[in-house]
Amino acid sequence: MTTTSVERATGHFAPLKADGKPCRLKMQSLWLTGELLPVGARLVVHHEFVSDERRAGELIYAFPLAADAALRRFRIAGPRGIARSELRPVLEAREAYEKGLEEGHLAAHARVHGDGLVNLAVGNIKHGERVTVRLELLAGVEARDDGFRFRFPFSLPPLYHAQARPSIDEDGRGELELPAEIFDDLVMPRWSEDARGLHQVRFNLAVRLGAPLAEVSSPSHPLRVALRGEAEARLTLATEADLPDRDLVIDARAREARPFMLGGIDGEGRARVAAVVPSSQFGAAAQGLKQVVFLLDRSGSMMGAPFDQAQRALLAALGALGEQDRFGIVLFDDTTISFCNALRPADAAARSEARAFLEKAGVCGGTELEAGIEAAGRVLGREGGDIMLLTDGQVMEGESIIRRAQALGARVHALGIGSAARDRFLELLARRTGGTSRCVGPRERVDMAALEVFGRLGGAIACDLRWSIEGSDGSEFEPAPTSHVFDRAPARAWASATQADKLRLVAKWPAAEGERRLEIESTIEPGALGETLRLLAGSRLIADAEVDATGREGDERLLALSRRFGLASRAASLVAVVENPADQPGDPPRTHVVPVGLPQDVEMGGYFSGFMCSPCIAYNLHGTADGADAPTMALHRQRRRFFDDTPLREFDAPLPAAAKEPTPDDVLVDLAGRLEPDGGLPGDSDEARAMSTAIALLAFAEQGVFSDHAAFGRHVVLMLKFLAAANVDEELREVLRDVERRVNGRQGAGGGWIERARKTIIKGKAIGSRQWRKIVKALAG
Amino acid sequence: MRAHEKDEYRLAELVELGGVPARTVRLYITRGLLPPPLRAGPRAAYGAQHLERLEEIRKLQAKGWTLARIAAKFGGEADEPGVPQPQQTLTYAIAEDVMVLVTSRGDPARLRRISRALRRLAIDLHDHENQQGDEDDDDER
Repeated sequence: MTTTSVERATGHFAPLKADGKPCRLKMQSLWLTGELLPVGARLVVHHEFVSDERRAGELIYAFPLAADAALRRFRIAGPRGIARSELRPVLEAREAYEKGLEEGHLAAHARVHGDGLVNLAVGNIKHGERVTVRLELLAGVEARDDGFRFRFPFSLPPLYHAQARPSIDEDGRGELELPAEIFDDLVMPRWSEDARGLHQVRFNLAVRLGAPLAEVSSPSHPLRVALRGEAEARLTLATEADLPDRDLVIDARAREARPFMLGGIDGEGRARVAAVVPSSQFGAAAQGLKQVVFLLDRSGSMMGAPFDQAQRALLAALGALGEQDRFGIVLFDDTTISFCNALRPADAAARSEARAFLEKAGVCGGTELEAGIEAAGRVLGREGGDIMLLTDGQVMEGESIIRRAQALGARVHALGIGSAARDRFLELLARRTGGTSRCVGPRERVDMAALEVFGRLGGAIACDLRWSIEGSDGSEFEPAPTSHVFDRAPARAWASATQADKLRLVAKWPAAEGERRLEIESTIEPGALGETLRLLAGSRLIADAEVDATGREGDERLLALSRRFGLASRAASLVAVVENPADQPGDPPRTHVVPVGLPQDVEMGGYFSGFMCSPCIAYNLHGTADGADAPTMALHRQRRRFFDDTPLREFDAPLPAAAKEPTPDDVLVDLAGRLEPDGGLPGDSDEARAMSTAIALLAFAEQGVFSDHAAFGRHVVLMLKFLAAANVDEELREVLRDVERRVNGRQGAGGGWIERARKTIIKGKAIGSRQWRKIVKALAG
Repeated sequence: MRAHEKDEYRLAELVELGGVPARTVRLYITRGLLPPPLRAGPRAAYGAQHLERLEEIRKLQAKGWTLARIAAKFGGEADEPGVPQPQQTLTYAIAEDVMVLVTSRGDPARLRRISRALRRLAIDLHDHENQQGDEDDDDER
């Protein structure tokens, strides 16, 4: 796209100068290229900056790192020359950048702060100059049994911190100021509600799955897919360019779930391999007793569909609990509310009370996740168990939250709802506590994903995995490979060894029938792949080390790791100065912050005014007296103290549900949430319960949902168990047997069952004898 | 007010004495929180007023002021002319026809007292309406 067409399409650039005139210094476009592999991604982000300002300018672009991502290097190019970045300790890099600016040179500095937030500063861009920064980085992907999901944050949502100061200007732009004593010179962007007029984004990515592709799709962007053989595809944005108002999400799925391994020679001459082994290779999903606390984020940023869906998912998860399972629920915003002080058996009374507790919950306030995790830990008690966390994760100082969660000893399985900006945090939180994470966008089915995560609770499919390499000496596994395998979360291993043509990876684990063993073999070929695998291993190690890096020793370890892999971290930054002899020291550049658009489906009011709103509290734009303090995110705490003696329901009225026709998935989630502890649906008599359960099973079957389904498999198993034990007469028993046979044989019974279930079970209408005859007839037909 | 020994400082000295990174100094100048350097060009220099202003900014930030508000006080940042700062108000629907706005000054104990007083008022109004309704019914009879 030419400059002219960009300007025509976008109009004026958003930031203004001090005199109110539009600023002509801007980041014009962001172009993502690179390669997506099932074990990670190697990417290059092309940033283009232009200036029409009379004076030299400096632009600061704030962006989040994706899960397990690390910056490798950049190249800055402008009319005055080209320079490649150097990796230096943070303070040294900052000094080099400042010195470059003082001497009048074009310079760039990429610094990683806590929470994986990066400030890329490009200084001394002069009038009429076009400057490009090509930034190379590594990123993780969410591995799945039959492929992977890649999420790249094209947007950055505002994040919660108790001491952050949100404000909103009269043009509706939001700003978040962070306390310098905690965040040093980290600059957050200004948020525009409308991303039009900001920079444009494009992408061109190669997918190499290593197995025949069944599907490549994106729930976020229109894709143009060009297949290159069976296992590779080239993906481009189907439109010319797009707005930076949402993250890029790519799903790649193989035709079958099978183990595979990638291998190559790295830059140090060692053989490198990375393997992904589907969970199904380790056996069937565990059906152990569940001891779980559902930890639900009800902060203001969850407002709308994410919270509604999460709430429904929890109701459905309650339906999948067996009578022997024990559970608790904790809701958190900037305070926590627990359903119970200790785990409760999932009997009928507890479920009914839990449903009432969940149904009256609304959203408001900030995201004090650490307090939520602590409260969940208290409910789990000494016995321990799983925490199933549903959150958008939009919280800062995530590293200390992870350390706290580790200290509690509970396993956290996280479902991230919303922006990819927090995938890094949630993946680390889950991994470091021995759990798993899954992330979905706000426009995807949160409830279905939550039920999939729920299926992982109660025990791993395989434990204490031991990995080894055969065919070479001196093998090392780094980072630590998967030791526990959960349902639909594949095992992963990274290893290096002395050079060999072929390597065999072996996994062994104890099972009831004795030790089990799995082997995968890969040829080791020269090429860039080996070095990519080394860098991906390094970026994952750095992500982990950043959690542990406290104090000087921690920083030194992190710096050593950065130097070893040549990757930036909180301890080492990237800096480049284009030293052109013709440059003369001049005025200090004028500094501007690149504005960003609020991510799609994120409300400005959810952060900058309404985030502190409840039905009874509002911030308005009446002027304050000169001496009055401005609100912080923590001010919301006062609301809680203020209303301590007020019944919860007055301030936590549920949001009105949107009136819409339920989809078949909506109906299934609703049915799943109604299951009684014995696996049957409610009813006035044994016959009525059996009939309702049979209809529900046929509704699930109509949608292709059987006992092996990721989200509803356990519900189906429980319902079948109930039908088998139902106390009914022989005539009805015969019909129930037919239903069981059909469901076990993965057959349906024609259409119309979703509608029947909705009309009878969900609307609460009793099934009359006439209607039942019709149902029997439908089954026979 | 702190005593400063020199009339002019280089950026590096200002950064060290002011306790803020150079980039923050540039950002403050761009946003109008700090005046431009005393002397532009290769030997840009900053004065005691820059140090004093940095100290003042820090104090105002500690009081909870946002940069936009500080810039407005110092007369800078023309893109945000006099933007009033958000103020917390609490809205109580005491009765169908009575709405009370309370300005919070962040004192929870006082707010709790106000809350209790308003609750009493709401109960009084409710009782009074019921009493009035009973009297009206009696009149009709």
